[in-house]
Amino acid sequence: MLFVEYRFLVFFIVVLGVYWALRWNVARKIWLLATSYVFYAGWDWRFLGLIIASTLLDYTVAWRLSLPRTVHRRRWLMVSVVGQLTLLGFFKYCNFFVTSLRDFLHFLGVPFQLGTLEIILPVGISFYTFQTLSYTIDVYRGTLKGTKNLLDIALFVAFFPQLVAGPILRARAFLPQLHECRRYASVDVRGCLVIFLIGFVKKACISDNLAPLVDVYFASPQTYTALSSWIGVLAYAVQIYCDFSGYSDMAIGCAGLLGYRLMLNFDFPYLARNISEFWRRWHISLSSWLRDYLYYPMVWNRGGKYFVYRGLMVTMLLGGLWHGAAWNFVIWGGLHGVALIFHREGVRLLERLRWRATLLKGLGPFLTFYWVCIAWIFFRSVGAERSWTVLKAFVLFRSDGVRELNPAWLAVIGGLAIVHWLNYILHTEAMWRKVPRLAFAAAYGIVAAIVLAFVPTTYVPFIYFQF
Amino acid sequence: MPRAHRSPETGFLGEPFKVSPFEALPGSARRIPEWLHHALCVCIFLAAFLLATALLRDLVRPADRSLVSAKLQEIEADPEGYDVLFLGNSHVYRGVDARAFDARMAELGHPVRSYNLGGQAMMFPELDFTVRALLERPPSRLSWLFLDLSFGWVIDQRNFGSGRVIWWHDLRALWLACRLVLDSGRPWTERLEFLTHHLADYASRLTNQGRGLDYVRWRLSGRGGSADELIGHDRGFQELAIGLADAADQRTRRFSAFLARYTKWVLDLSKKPTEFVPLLGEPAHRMRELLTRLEEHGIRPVLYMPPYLKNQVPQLASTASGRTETVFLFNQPACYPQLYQAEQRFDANHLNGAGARLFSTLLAEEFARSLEQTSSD
Repeated sequence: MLFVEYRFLVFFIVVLGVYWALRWNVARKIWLLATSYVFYAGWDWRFLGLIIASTLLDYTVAWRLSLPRTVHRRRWLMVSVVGQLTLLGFFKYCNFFVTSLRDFLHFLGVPFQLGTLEIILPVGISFYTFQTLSYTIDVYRGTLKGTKNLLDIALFVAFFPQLVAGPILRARAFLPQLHECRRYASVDVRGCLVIFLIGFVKKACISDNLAPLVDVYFASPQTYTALSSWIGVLAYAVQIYCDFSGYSDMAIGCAGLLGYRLMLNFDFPYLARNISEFWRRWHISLSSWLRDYLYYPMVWNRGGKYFVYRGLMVTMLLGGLWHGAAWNFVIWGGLHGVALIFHREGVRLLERLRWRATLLKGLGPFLTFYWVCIAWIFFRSVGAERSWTVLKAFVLFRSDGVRELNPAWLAVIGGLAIVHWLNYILHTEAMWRKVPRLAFAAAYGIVAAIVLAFVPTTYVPFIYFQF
Repeated sequence: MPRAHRSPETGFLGEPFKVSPFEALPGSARRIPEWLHHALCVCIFLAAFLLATALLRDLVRPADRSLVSAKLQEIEADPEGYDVLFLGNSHVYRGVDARAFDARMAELGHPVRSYNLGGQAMMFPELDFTVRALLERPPSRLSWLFLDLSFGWVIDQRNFGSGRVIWWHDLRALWLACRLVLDSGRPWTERLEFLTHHLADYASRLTNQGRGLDYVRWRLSGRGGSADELIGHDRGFQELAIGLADAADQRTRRFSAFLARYTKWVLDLSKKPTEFVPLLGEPAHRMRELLTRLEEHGIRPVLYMPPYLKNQVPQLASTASGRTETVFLFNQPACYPQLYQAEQRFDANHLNGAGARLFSTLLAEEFARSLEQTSSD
């Protein structure tokens, strides 16, 4: 059930209505948990057991870790880490490792005859395993006290607005919200409705309408001109941002209407002035997770540039691999790792260059966006050959193709960029908050009717569902 | 002007959720209860939404992402009109060459002008809607409607949400489709899923899904929607050939690779007698209704089975006028071996261009014979 479907609208209205009709916090949490499991079962009921098993594993481990008499705490943590990563590794990376090993051994001339398994990837497994891991690690570190309340943990893992595609929740931000009964009076209904609508427009109107154009180009990039490569790559950059940030916005809006606050996941990343800032604005829940649970442990108290750069590279490579079980995602991560390292070195050099530094700072957003687009080529292309074809056309303006995508798309993308930038610099929230309630309701109805007319027929699944 | 700072930890607005400034006016006492205020907001939202939706439906060009709607428009725009229309699924769309039919009919002394109104994967609900749309403004000369009986009663699940399926989902089509799903005998979970999809597509039609885009495209380029759907068609017919679509090419390659299996299927079919399967329940009722409606408009339905690999023929009871319809049966390899030769086939179930022209000729001969028999009777 996608957020942009009518089925979800009916489902959510029912969930919302019953939720606020219930008076007791426990009853509300049970209702939310049950409906979250129904939501997940709608994707594939066979994997309900998996999410419950994942929940029980980390609930048990965290409870043990929080007991004062527990010895071998590190071993208990390892149980959680190994267990969760084994689940993730088996369902997501098993075939990837087998085929990669097979190809490598064939390259060495060693015959290797192990076939791959037909494994169905459970929806959202990358998200909820990271979520549960953050809980046990925080309890191990002592930054969070483990809870005996299984209901809270189960709801933290399975909370449906963010279950299948994030934002990745942190236990220390979400669990305290479950302790107190949410009050309807404290819900910013208007804000939640606006952010949901913005997310819907991004996903259903912008991303879904760009999808056919992007698919057509990346299916056979060798047949298109260099200008078309720019259109295709820029369109993909817009598509993936609108798809993912749109989904996150809708998740934040839905959770907000239920009285729960989810973290901001995208903060105008394409307007970042450098690659480090980009990663503080793009997929914030994932990047902060990787920073806190992977990068910091690698570089903490190690000192020296080598450990920092190694930490950056390993984090980005694994971050790339998290997005998909394929080498093109690893390359994508590697490109970002290289950029982060260059940025760190570059910052020190820039301080000595003075006026040239000012110029480079002015060019920062464009250079950052350009590099991000180059990395997206590997993220989207299927196969090394196609990636290289697109890269050659995009960077070197060399292409043997003669087919052209309609140049009018550049105007569309440019228009969207201007709207995006205006939204960044203007206080648009302040404008719609001043509108009287009844007028807001009428305006919302009119805007919703117009938006629906621009939703293309045939739904396109969220890009990040493949993760 | 600097932006308001937005911290990931405090939410999307940089501050904990708060009420709007309008509501926080000091000393403002609410005169009506909060719940009533909310109810009023919901009512105003719904009223504004429905009004805007209705207005948009009138203002913007319809979402013509439907091959069939494009064909209906072409029929309506043709000043000469048509005597014969062919209606059905891909067996019609890819299998009946209207010009070849007309040429043979003219040779046999019965000149007619025909049009292929078929569409791939057309199931009964869409067929019924198409007939209704046709009868709202019937072509001036229309006398016969050829109906291919190989259609299904429940649409393919993969087609839900497409422009064409949304196009025909008006209230009556929704009701009909739901009745047929409930009568289909499928597992209840599957029926529930189908009903949900039908309701969603009806909602998509009501809310003008896709129409805004088509309107903008039409305004900017003068093209889009209907006009594009009929590129490469001749009187609604487009023959199956290599290069049409990747999926089609794969099917014909599979057909070529498994010719021996196809030959065996044809041999088995030729040994089986034709099996007349009585139509019961909802399908029978709806089919009778459709045929009666056509007759009331002075259009004679002509039923036939295409040359495909099933020996079953749906048996219809008489219509309201008491007449049992004649059915031309081409699913008999013993009688029409030439239609089952591999050279006439694109895949196991569809004819290629040459096969379509041959079939259209044979169909014309059967029809001409029945016309002569009727006039001599």
